[in-house]
Amino acid sequence: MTVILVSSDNQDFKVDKEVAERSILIKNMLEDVGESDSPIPLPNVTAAVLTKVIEYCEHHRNDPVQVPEETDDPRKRSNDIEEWDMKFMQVDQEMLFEIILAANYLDIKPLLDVGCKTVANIIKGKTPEEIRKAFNIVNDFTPEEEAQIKKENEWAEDR
Amino acid sequence: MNSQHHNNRHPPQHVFIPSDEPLDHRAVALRFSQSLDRPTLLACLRVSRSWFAALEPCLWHSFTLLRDPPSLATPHHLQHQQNTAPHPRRYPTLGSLHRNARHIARLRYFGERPLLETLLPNLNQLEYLESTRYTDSIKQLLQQNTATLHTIILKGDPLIPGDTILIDRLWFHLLDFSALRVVELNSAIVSDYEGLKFGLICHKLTRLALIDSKFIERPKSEEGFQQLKTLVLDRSFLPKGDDPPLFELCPALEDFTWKSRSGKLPIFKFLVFLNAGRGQALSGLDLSGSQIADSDLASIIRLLPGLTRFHASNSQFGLDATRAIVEVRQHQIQELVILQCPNFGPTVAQEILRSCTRLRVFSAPAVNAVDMAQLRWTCTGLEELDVCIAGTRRLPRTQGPRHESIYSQIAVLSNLRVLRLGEVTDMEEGPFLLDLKVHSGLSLLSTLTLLEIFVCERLKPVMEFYDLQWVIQHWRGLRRLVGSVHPNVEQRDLSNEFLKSQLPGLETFSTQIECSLALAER
Repeated sequence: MTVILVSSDNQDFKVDKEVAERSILIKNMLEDVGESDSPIPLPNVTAAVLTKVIEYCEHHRNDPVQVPEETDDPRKRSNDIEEWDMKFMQVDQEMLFEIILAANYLDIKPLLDVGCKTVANIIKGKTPEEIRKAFNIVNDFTPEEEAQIKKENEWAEDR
Repeated sequence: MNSQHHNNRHPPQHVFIPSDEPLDHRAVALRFSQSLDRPTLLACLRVSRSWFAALEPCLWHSFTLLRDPPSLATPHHLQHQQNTAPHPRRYPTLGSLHRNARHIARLRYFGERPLLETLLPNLNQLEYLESTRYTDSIKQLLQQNTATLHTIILKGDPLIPGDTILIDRLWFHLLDFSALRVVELNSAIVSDYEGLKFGLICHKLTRLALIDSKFIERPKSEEGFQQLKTLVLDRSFLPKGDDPPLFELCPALEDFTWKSRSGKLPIFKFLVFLNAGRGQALSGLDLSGSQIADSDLASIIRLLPGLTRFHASNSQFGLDATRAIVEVRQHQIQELVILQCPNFGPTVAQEILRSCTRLRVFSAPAVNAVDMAQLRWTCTGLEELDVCIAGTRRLPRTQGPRHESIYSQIAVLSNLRVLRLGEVTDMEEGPFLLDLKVHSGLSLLSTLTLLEIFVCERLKPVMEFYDLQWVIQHWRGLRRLVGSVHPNVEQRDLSNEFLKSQLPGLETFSTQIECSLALAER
């Protein structure tokens, strides 16, 4: 069975139901409406981003559904990324962040994880100035403010 | 110049700028922060105002309120000790604590009562609470968070031997908790007679862990606990009665632990329970210390079609149970921990390693060096290996490095993250032989690029400068080393300092006990 997804710029995407249901948001919508051919509007996702998201879901269509651990300690998560996912995420920064936002909106946790890990791996070990350069961000702190933030949060280095 | 060019274009909208949907972006910022190591997260706070606004709450999402922060009233001689203590702990300012307490969702509390009382009004979003005290402040904290608390762990202080937490009237207090799914009681004495209320709490739980605790009433229920997927009964006392064993009340169990001093496992009833198909969902089983006969363990293994994780340390696990695994579970078992099992000899261990293709975790008393030399292990996906090697002296002499065959077998395990290696020797065999030296074959372990934890406490290595250089070059991800790399204490300390200077994040401990204490303190 197929479903039709409609992007924010009104492009239609015909997708296998099994692939679409990698998104928990879409899965829940389909359960609510029952058997229906109505297209599903996705007002927060453009066609370009939706194309990438569908590509990801197609590739991972047979992956087991991830159930978060009840006592999931975030500190235990690993930042390893599979090779295919790594190549998939080789996009420009704007697209990378759009994919992350779309994964969050569509509730596709594995894709959100991969996106966040990708950004994390880009900035790992960098200083604030190096992070700014990586993302073209203007520093709007005064040197005193920056020093105060560093001092106030020194305790966190021990945790 | 870059910033000028940046200002002339439409700036990239990225997730850390607060938007009209703050909740949406807050979730993303939190997930992103959890992918970062601590130094990088702290650097991110100083990138820009919007990054600070988005990520500072994430820094406080998980917080440990520690015991005994330094006091201004500390006597001078103790202040000196604190100042020269390795890694003196730093604390957030009171102002920072008050400002950010509202962001704390996961709180670990280790007994600093005055501080907790001042923060109480702001701690309203707790999802996870771990506490070593059950005081009025904690009870109030629970009452403030009935709608959000998902996990409650009440336990004795792990750093005070024999410490227990005294709990009265717990079940009544937890009745109104709509989000509660996980309860763990560790080193607790629970004086609550309300078995029915205990049962009502268990109805909504997905995980119940009773560890080294005493109860005066069991959870009671007519319908059973349909949601409970994980049940841990580890050295805990539940009063006997006419009620069925707890596992019979849990038809959806996926993970079951029954460890010694929980009373003798009614093995016949357990086998009947499994034989009736009630164990279909059970994939994890821990019967360590239960002294169940080898043949019964074999029956249990054969009755669990979904078994992937099996722990049976300090049990009668032997030939029958091994046969059961090799015959019916060889392609599904992923985790097997069978330490201190006198009937599980090195030859039997080789059977497992040769047959179980999907093993990720394996802990066993010993494997034979001569068996290892055959290079027939199929479990190449192993991530954690804990074994001693027996009979090193019986290895045939070769032209190449002395222990080439042993290292060659371990070298195929390129996914290893944790390696605990030991050597079994006795008076007849003589002293330890595995010296962890490059010229003895250590260089073959350059395939272990993912190695994070290496425990050599049960070896007697004699690693010199060249061998340490090799470790630095090839095990870049190593973050924990337990054991001595050299028999001379001074040389050992110098070696550890050298390794730590070259491998960022590496911690060294002389013994596993020292390591465990340090981890418990965090």
